Amino acid sequence: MDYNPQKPVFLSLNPCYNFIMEKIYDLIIVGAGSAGISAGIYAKNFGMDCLIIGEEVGGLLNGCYKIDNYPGLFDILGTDLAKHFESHRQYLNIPLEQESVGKICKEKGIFKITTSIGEYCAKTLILAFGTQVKKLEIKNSEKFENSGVYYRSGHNASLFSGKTIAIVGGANSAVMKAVKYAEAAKKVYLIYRKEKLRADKIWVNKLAKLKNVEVIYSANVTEIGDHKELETIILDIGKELKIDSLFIEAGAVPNTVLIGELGIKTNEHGYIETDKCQGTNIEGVFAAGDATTGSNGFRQIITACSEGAIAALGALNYLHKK
Amino acid sequence: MIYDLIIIGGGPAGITAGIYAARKKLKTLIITKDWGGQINRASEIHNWPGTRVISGMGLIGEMTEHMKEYEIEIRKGKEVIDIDKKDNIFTVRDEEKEHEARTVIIASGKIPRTLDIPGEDKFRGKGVCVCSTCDAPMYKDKEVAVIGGGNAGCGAAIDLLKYAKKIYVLEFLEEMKADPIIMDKLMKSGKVECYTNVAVKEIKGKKFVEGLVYENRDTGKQTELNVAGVFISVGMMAKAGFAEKLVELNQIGEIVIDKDNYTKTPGLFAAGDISDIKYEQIVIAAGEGAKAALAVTDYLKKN
Repeated sequence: MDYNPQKPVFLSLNPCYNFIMEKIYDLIIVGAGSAGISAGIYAKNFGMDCLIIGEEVGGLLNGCYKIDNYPGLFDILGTDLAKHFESHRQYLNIPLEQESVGKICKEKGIFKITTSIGEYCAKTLILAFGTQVKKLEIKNSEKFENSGVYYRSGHNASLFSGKTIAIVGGANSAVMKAVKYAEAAKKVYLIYRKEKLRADKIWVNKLAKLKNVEVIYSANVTEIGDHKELETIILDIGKELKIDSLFIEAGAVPNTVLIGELGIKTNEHGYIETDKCQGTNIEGVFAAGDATTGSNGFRQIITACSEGAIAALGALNYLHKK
Repeated sequence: MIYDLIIIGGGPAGITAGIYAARKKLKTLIITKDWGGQINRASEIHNWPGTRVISGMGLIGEMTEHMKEYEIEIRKGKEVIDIDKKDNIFTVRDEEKEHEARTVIIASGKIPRTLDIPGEDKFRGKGVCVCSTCDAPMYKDKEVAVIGGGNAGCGAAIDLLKYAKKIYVLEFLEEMKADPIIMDKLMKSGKVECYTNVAVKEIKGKKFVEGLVYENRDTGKQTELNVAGVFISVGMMAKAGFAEKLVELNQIGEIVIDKDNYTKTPGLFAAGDISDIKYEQIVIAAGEGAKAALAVTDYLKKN
């Protein structure tokens, strides 16, 4: 077999495809969402030898219905913006491995990333693995996911004209959604586990004025009626509601389980603490996007891209100094 | 009429701030000399995420169109000359008029730095240029010099490749500072010669530019170069004097902000290249604009 340092070296010929990449990248970016792709674009344009490892190009963009705050694009589908990012990546020939990362550690000054099928090494890292929508434990919810049960959706209110819907959550996203959908829906239930809504006052006030919205406090959805289509939900306060659609807006959680071994500092909610230049407490490790405490916690697509660029520049400067 | 927000500047930071503010239904006025600014001189942008290649003017056009989808008041062609704050209201004065607002975002960016050498002013528009995208076609089959070996200078050289017969790039420091992707393109053309560690001393000519004199910074030896055009790309400078009373400026005249875009005056924010952020990139400026507008939204809720 010809030895080619660009290609993985297979340790065995068994079909598990376990390999150890002998090559050491300048930079590995973990995550292929907005922050990760932007970091890759910058790293590549600055001549760094970099690799992106991420399962889904676009990340959470794919779960957004419409996006109208990415500068220059007034009205675009989340999946289309994800495609733009992917096409930019391909155009610049930035390598991407669509694998799930199992472990990140540091050995002899080199970062090692173990994925579902192999191991990769790099001198610097950018952690850009974003957040995941918080899924709730509701019986039968998987069966109806995307056909009656929706997470972080952004549908047009008019789709629910004359329908009865339920929204779970009490923060801004849930209350805003209730206000928006109440314009068209016949009836909107807002179900919150606490006694008082957490959303901004302006939205709570707007909600209070709507006659077709009923807020159910101190309640959780435990089960979805096992019918062919979504028809009913059951609450833990002994109530059953007849609805057409269920929206879950219970927030997002950072994907930060991977970083324990590296000793990356996070805040109490698990977000990676970053400084002004997207550095973490570990030298050579930068972080960008929704998984971090950056950009005042605003977590926008454009701020994720900006953080990705800053992190790539940080990694570049770090390598130059070494 | 008291606005919720006045944005000063119409580059990527200012426009993005405008998009975000308008989406938050803030009563917003944006005052700018022009759309874009330094971005207009970029003929090829390769690092705006989601767009493979776009010209600076193209990108700023798309951003401006996006902003105009929302309700926002625009005052174009005016330069802000003073900002003051009294009883929690800011007064922003341009050459003609005063405007009042509860908050202000300064996003006026940077302007081209000058060399301050003999001939620079005299031949401005007569061979001395700062905008390669605008002026490159005038140098068809001519020999030209670009002063500055960074991304901007080498970008100017790329614009000139299509037209000029020969391009000299003169860099003050010991190394060229442009990204490898740009350097590769220049070197492959066979038309470009780079001189590093040189200081340009004078631009010469009669009616129009005929040449320049540069000095080797180690030996002090002066050499004359016959060129018909001199494109100056030696970086940018911040000009925030109009806000002096209310902000802290660092050594190079940039507005000092914290990581959430607050200046030392409550209600006054800054975003993009005019602020003391470490890296100056379009996507970073846009991110800063979004961040500043959201910080304004928070501030207005609390005050």
